[in-house]
Amino acid sequence: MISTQQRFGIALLLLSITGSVWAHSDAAGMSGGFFSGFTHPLFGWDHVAAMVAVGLWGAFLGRPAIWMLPVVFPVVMAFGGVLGIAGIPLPAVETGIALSALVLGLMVVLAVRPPLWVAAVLVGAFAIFHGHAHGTELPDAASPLTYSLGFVMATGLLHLSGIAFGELTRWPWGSSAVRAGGAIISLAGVGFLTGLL
Amino acid sequence: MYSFFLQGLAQPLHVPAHLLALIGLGLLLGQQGIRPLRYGVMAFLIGMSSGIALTRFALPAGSWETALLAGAGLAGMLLAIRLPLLLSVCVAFAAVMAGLLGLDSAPSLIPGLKAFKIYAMMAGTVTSTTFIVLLSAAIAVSLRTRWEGIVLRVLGSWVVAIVLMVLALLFAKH
Repeated sequence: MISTQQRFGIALLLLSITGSVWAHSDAAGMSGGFFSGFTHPLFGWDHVAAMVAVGLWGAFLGRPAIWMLPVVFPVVMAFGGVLGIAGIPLPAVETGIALSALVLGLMVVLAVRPPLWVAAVLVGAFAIFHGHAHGTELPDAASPLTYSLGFVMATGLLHLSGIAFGELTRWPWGSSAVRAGGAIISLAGVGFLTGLL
Repeated sequence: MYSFFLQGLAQPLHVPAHLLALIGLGLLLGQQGIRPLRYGVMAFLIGMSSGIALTRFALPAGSWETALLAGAGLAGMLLAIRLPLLLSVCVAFAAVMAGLLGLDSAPSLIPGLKAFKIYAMMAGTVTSTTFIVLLSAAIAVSLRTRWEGIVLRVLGSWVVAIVLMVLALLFAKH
């Protein structure tokens, strides 16, 4: 049950967001920038699969990985995005992205529990490929800030959806469901890698 | 005069970089605890008032957006690593960010515009920026112990990622 105080807070937050989007003289550009950025990660299944897998694996590994991986991913992905925007080439970007879905999915299926730093390095390495791909594909956004805001928020929400699904591991049957989710992601990764998907 | 105050109130909502810096700072102060928040908000109020006043009397209006974004990125990084900061560091950081925001919030001057209308706009901007910092800080205070502070850390990483991408895009455009 949401309290009156919480409702007031949410209403204020929503009001401030709509104000920032619509009240500006360049409202179309700003909201367009946000929408364009928000939908960008959602239109590539390879990106979606990998980002959900990050959240899923984080939840599966438990604390502190549950917050460490979704913190590491966007920051390193932004670094990859900077490389892409700057035009610095990175070999086999598409292969790296497909591999990320396959490998991260496998980590969940096989319930692999490496040390935290290994998981962070693995996720960070794949994040560079994702960021680079987005960076090189970026349109000449009307508003770089609203574009980036939408882009990062969509990525974060994909992680959160993975974490939410991964939280099923709290129940005895949930572990099997989460591992099945990992299996689907890794199979999708095979599809991306072979070009079937 | 009231409409000029309202214009000033809405000013930070028109500039996403300001909003990001305000939210980042507010979340950081809230994460640090009640005492840093109390002194940080006071420093913010003084810094913001001084910064915006400087645009009227001393410094010509200029763009401080890059410095503000860098400050927001630093706030996001500190949020993500949840580093306990000294009170003096919190206060200094709030004051510097507020000063930059004030310097970047000069009201657009129309020839013939009366001084009191300009002050009304400035007062509106100082009010709304302080309110946004307080609101963000209140949210952070309520979240700082919940789920081991994960939400704040994730929000911090989002701020860092946004700042990195925006700065890259801005530099690429230029």
